[in-house]
Amino acid sequence: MLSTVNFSALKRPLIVLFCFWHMAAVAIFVMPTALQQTVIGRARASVYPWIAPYMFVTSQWQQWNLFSPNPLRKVTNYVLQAKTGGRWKDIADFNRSTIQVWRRADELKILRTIEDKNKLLSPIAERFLREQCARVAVGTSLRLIYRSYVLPPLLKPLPPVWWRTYVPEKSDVPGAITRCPPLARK
Amino acid sequence: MKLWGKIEQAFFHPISASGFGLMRIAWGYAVLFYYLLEWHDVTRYYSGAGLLPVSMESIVMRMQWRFTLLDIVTEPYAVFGVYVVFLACAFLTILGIWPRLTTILTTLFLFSFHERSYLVLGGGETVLRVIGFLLMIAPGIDAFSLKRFQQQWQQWRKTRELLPTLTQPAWPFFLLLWQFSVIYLASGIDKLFGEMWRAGTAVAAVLHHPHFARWPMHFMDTISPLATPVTHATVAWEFSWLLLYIPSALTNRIPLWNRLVVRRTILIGGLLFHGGIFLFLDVGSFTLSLFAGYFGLLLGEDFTALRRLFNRNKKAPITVLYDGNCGLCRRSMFSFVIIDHLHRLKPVDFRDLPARKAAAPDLSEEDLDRSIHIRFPDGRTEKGFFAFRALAKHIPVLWPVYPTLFFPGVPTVGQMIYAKVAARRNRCSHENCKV
Repeated sequence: MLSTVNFSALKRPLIVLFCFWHMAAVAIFVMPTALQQTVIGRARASVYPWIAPYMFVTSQWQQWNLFSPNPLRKVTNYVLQAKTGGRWKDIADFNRSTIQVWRRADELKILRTIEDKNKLLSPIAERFLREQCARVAVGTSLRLIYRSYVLPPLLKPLPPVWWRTYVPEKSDVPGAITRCPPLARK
Repeated sequence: MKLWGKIEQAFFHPISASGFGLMRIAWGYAVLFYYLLEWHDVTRYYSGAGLLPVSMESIVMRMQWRFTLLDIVTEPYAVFGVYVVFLACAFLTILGIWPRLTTILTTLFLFSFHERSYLVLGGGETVLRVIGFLLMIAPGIDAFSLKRFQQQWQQWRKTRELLPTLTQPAWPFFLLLWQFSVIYLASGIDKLFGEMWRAGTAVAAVLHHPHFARWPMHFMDTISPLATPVTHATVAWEFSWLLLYIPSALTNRIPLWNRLVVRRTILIGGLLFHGGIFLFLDVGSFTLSLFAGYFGLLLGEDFTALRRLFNRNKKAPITVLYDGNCGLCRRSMFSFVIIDHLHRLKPVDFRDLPARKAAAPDLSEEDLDRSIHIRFPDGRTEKGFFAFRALAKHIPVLWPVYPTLFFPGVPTVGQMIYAKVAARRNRCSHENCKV
């Protein structure tokens, strides 16, 4: 039966079918979150189980919401504190100016993800803290502080002079905490 | 049947494969560059002893429909080994050594690293992944590869002509164009739901975010008045990708509508948009990864137009007189021809008397035998090192070297080296001659 099928004649229609399938799958998968409560969003939800395996298996999963619907306004400095003499003291600050330029994007991405999913990722945050144990004595407690402020929700353009005089109000939110074990020291 | 004919014509008509060849190189560079930056952290990010041990993957990663070599290879030294092989594959992809195999391997390694940990992934990494997938399945990625170079050399040896431009069916181009359109349109639609994009203040907020701002805040303050028009222009440009999908039956009725001009304007808009992001903001690998993809969006007519633009004041080619009896000279001439992307050179074998008489009747064979000569359309002649230096000005890949050839001392050393090579060039006639 198979020998009677002309595979070369099928090649082009199969490629065209694949192209249409791939284009549809990509477009449906990336549907903006803002549309997901609409009719289009509900239609997407019904076909999602069909396209998701393809998008995941081929590693084509994607979402294009960089700086949208609104740009990120929360600005966080990630501060490492050690408990010495019963008081927490800042011992390191992870931000653009303290992380080497070639590691900056990755390290800030990790810290932002840990901050966003604070509770869920607390085991990862603890592992991050354990990596910092080489900075302190065995048995010292370390914690991560999210020292942050939120840029105002700009609803009208502001002149440069406003930006120059803008002083953000920072607040500290404690994150993961750990006690440095002897084995973690290098 | 008529519909299928139209679809078949659209998807399978041959287009220049140069864009995808350049995209392969640029993508390989982007992958190699951004993963080299992780050299010191690779085991920390991707091994079982790092930030995300396999036992904790389920709190960060989706566990369904996910495959990664690094779930099997978890020991730090083994992960580092995989990483080194991955980098080697990316390097071979750039050179185009076994381009199909190395591109597939690089893409699969890239997938494996991305599927092992989402912690360090951003938009740029996703762009690298989607381009890698398209390169993996596109039939025409051999352009500008060493494999293609060897084929060209065989052709040049036989005919003194290069092979015609490599082509591939149009469907990979459509998939890439669609992918870019989806990126910008999805992003544009999402922005419409944001108050700050609608108010024209989004770009000002991004410029003032210390995680992204590349320059000191006082400089960002100064340029912030430009942010409002840039905010609106960004959204408008993202939606302009829709113009590429207006059927020609409609655009044909619009006076002055030119599909080529519209497409090129959108692409130039993209270069300005992403160039601006790169200049003012640090968003990781996003900009350079997208730039790699832009090469794939170039068609044969774009390369022709670029060539025309660069050659607008050039009336005739530069004649390069080389020794067709000397293996080294033939190989050198071929090297010049293969990188003559602006088509400005006209090689002439001075051992071919009629050709020499036509190109440079005033130059004797003895003179030409001493060194390479080039003749400009205005009659000017350069020879030896100075001929090479003059040619460098007309060959884009040599532009970075060109200014250095004027540094004090370089001409003297250049002439000495040239004289030594020229004196030994006739030791043998075959092309593999070691000088």
